[in-house]
Amino acid sequence: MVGKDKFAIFLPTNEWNPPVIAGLQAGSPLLSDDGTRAAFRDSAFRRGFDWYMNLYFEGLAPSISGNEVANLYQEFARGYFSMYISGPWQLGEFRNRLPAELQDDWGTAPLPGPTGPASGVSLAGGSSLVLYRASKHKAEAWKLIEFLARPDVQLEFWRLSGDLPGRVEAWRDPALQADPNMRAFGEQLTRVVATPKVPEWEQIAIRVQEQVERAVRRAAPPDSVLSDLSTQVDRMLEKRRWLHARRQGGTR
Amino acid sequence: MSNATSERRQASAAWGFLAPALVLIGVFFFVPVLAGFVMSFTDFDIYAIGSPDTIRFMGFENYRQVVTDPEFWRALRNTLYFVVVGGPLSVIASLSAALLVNAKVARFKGLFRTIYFLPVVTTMVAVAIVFRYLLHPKYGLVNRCARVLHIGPIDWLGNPHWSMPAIVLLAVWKNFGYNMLIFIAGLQSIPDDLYEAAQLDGAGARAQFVHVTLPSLGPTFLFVGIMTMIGQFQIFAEPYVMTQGGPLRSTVSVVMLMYEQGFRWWRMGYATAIAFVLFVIMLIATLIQMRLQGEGRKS
Amino acid sequence: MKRALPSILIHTLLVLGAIVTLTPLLWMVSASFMPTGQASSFPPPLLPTHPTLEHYVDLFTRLNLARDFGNSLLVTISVTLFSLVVNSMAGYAFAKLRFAGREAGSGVLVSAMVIPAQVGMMPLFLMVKGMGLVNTPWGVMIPGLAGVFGIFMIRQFAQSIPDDLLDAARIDGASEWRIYWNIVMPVLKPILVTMATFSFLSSWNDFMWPLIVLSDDTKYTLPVALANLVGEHVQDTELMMAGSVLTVLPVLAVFLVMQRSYIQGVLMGSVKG
Repeated sequence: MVGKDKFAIFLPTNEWNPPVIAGLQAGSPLLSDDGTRAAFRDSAFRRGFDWYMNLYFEGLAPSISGNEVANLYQEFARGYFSMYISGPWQLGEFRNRLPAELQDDWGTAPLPGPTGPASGVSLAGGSSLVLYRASKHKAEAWKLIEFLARPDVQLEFWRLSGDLPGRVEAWRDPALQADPNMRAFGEQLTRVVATPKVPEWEQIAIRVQEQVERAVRRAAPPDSVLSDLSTQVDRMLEKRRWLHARRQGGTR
Repeated sequence: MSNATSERRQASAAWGFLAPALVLIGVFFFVPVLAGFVMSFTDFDIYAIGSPDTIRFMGFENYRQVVTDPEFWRALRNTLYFVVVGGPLSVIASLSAALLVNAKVARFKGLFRTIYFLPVVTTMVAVAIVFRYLLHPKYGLVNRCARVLHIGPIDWLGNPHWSMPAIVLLAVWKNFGYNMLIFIAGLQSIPDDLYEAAQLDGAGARAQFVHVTLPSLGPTFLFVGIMTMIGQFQIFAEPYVMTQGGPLRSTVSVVMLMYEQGFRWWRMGYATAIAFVLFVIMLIATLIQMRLQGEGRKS
Repeated sequence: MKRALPSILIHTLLVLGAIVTLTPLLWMVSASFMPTGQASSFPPPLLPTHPTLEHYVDLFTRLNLARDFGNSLLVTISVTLFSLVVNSMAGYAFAKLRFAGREAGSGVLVSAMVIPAQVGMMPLFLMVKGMGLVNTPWGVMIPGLAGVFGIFMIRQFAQSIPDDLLDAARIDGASEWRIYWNIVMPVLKPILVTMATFSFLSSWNDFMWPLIVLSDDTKYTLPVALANLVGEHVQDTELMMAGSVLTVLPVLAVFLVMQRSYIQGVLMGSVKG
């Protein structure tokens, strides 16, 4: 499918997920030292990053952002790109928005990985339930979490909202198993990695996207991009290092 | 009723009338401004919202970081581009529109004035969205018109070189009507005998414009210039809606950077420092403009 | 002095200017009636082939835009009425009542006009949060409840009220409140209408503060809802245009009806500075 104005894959330059996934697949922890230091200069992230950059530099992916594609589904139908990394929420959209004659011509698959399928990890998406330490209703909140985590409840949730269940047990449900496009997400779910659990993560993710975009658009060489990124992220984590030191020092 | 009682009665009534406004403005404007000043010397952040004991007094550290942060300089450069390129463009558009509408032979003046003014009252968020589509490289009307002139296609919002001009385009379209109105009032206040005297001296239309119209509009220029500039320094909704600051952060404005730092990443101490730096820059720019135009008028 | 320029040239330019000014708005209306996908086809069409109301229906049913419309209306009308009373009381006091501290008081307020709102935004948010008003219409309204600009506009207008009129009422034994409500308010009516229009438009169009204070989509005002919608529905040009039409329509209508007094207000504000 590759050719003039035809690309193998669309990796929007305004999304942080694809480059982060590339790093995770190469074995990068993203942050080190208990989430107080950037790990973007390490060889693991560098491997994933170089591979990712090549997708653009070899012309397999267009160097454009999601804003520059007026209608994702129309462009997919036209063959502007052949692959796109997304989540199960897109299944319904593709069913509704792609022309009827193309409905048998598309499908989903879990991400491949650099060293075979087992390394094809991905992100789980917005999937964390949080219980505050200062909560006044810990017992009730825990009950709610238990309830939401029950396989039958998750299935009911999926039927009502289309949100996929997170529990492997729920995936044994025949309705979920029947749809091959759905099954790909079920399989992916067995190979997901969580993003670092630090309050700064969202901000860090945006920096990753910005710096990767610089490299993709050839505004800066890959080396300086990764070192800029590390410097910026390390500066963001300064407070975290201070809090760590304070806790270890025992000063209150 | 004696004069003194009347005075006293008036004074107490006056404070009664003023109280609601003064309390509201004091509590919801002056107190936050002072608190902001203090906050800009601390590292108030996401941890501080949860546990205030993690707030550290930082001295001028935030300000040092602001002026050494390339991100801030980029935002300032974008904002200044908007001020320096967008400002004069918008004033020229306003003055041209005012001259046309105010021309003696022009008919339907009221209608044209209303049409030109319409964009001013529209909702910025809505028209920024409209412009997003109008500026689309393939399907946008702007490029369709440009093609007729054999220009483009221009990737307005995707190319970092064109993204700021695109935002300037939106801002000029949206705002020129406001200053047009003020220029019309300025033009109408120029006494006719000035033109008549110039005509007697044999001045043509161009000479009249240069020697009568422009000098008479001096105070109007100063007012329009300063008000436009102050508004432009605070640009936020245009890039927020049209480009989210992209591509390559080429449209991040100072206020947008402040918003991101303060309300997205909750680095509120740092964000207030950005706001105060912007405030100082605006003050300086206003003083410079007053000085320049004051001298321009003297010579 | 423009007599030298031929009338044809001037009118051509006027019409061209009008076309450029109106095209974005007209295209917005036109695209909002296009069937899904038509606006992003090539070459870009100007008029809908088969006009449809589906996007408006979609906005009002599935996307609950009527709720956001209601939120905007509630906030805008409340702020307008409240600020009108508060500002006119203060403006009148500054203009017509003699009291110690009048000059100093107005001096302090003038300084408030120089300071950009952003420098107090972070603490104001924390205050609003502390008062439990984040995510409520109250939180959105707070910064607009009283305004220095409004106070001075009204003061300027109120200065023309003859002192004799007020003194006569005082001699008749009218209370100061009564004088304000029964004598001053009716005289102020033209400026109040102008200020109401100003306040309506700026409050309806306001974006940054509502964006900061509101986090729950059931509380969004229209501009915030629209900016949020475009994140999710950027693909749906026609739907977004329908949303934009609904957002812009009320302010355009208010402006067209109140045009005369609004324009007078703009000029008055500019003369005084």
